Amino acid sequence: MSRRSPVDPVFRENIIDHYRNPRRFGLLDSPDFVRRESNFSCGDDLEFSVRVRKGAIVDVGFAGQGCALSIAAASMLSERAIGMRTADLESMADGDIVAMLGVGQLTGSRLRCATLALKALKGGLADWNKSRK
Amino acid sequence: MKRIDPHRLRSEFPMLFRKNSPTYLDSAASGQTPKAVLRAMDGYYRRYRANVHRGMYPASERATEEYEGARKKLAGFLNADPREVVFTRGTTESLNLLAYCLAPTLKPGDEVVMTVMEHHSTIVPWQQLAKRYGFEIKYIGIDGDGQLDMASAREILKSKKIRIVSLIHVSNALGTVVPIRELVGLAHGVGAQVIVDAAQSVGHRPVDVRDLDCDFLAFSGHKMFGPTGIGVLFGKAGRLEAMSPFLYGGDMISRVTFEESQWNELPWKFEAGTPNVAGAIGLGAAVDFIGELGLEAIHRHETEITARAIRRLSRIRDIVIYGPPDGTDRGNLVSFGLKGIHPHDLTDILGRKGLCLRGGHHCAMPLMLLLGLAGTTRASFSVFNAREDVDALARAVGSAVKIFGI
Repeated sequence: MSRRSPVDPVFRENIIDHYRNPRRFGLLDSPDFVRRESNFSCGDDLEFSVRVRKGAIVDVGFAGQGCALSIAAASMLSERAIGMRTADLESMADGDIVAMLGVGQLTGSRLRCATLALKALKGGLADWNKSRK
Repeated sequence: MKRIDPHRLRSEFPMLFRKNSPTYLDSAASGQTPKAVLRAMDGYYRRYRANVHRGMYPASERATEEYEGARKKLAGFLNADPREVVFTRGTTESLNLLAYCLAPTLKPGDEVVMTVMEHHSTIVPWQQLAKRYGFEIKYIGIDGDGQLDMASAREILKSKKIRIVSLIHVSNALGTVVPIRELVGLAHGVGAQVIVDAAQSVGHRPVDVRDLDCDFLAFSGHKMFGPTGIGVLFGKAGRLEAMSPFLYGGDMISRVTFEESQWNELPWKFEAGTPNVAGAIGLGAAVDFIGELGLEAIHRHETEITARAIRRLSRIRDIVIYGPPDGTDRGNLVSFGLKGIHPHDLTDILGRKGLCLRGGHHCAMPLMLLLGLAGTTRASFSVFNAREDVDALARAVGSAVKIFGI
């Protein structure tokens, strides 16, 4: 039997790899904002720290614990966010995260795991924008 | 003694008797409903659908008779008096009813004692009401095997300030069986009233309220082959008499003027509004179903299946099994985890293989914090589960190890 059996599209090798070796793991020393989000149903608990310069995200680091999907999504999104215009990040939707993960369809509780990182980054950005006005 | 034949019984449960039916290993969260229970509820809706206690026509009289008949069955099942059986929405409502009715009789300095294994439906009401009434909450801990720390229990239960002791009978998170009778003796020794959360024990092992000598006992219908939305609060008649009502409305009064109201007799004093008639009738049918199988036989079957699960799962590399070791008295469930795999991922993988399990904190977040866990994956068993279900579980858990390459 293959290690990636057909019933487990969610647990593809790259998801497991990001879960095992998350990129951008560790909080930044002098972030512009931090944001912690948790997922009550399964105990995912992630904190993001972000630096912003001239309307673009220049650095992201995260910490915390969670399931493979939430950690892999946090890892991939943190990498992708660096260099993005804040407005582009704010316009990202749940579907973009599912596409980024490449896991096919996600339902209910698993969608909440996958999108926790996006929720944290968007929520953090929104509050930071408000605080600067 | 009668024996349980899980394969034959499967045809009694419509959801399990279809092509490609999933392997249902989540009876501790909610059970399955046998045809006899569905028929009983259907009979009410099709043949004598009417309100209880009021109508002066045959359908209403029949509905009243069946509703009160269900109460009598529950009373017999628990070794209680029908006056002591209050129908509620479930364990959570029963426990909230008690907390809301008893907390106002407590004052600052009084103590409420519970175990660290309590479900949120016990911890949260008392914790929140403690802020309003100023009493203190003390917790009895567990040892490394997940058994209640009886030395600590004996020490804590010496205080004369204790007014309420609320105990889970069988832990839904670990499967631990709490020695209720001994603790009731200690609690009564200091004049405290004892509440038992029997959500995981009623219908799975004999529960006799006179033998336990508890003051109150709460459970849900849907975890014992009954429908959702119906449950029971047992209370010793004297205790229920002494309490003020929880909800006000129809059926719970005997006389009302614009200024004053008098309460109905037990148990109706605690059943305001039109009750869940079909639910109660269904729960009565569930008691009959359990009676036909034999509670001792159910307990033996579930114990054997649980023991097999623990044996099979223990052979898997990197598995951790929580709760009391094999061979000790245990509930019909096993909570486990794999090192390096989040319980949500493990439960998801099993779900994708057609195995229905529960993953997470099992509404016992304080216990998970104490154990330093994000959660566990839990398999729980019923009369329709056979050895091959356990074997399928062990194989699927083994394959999760491969997926994660641990």
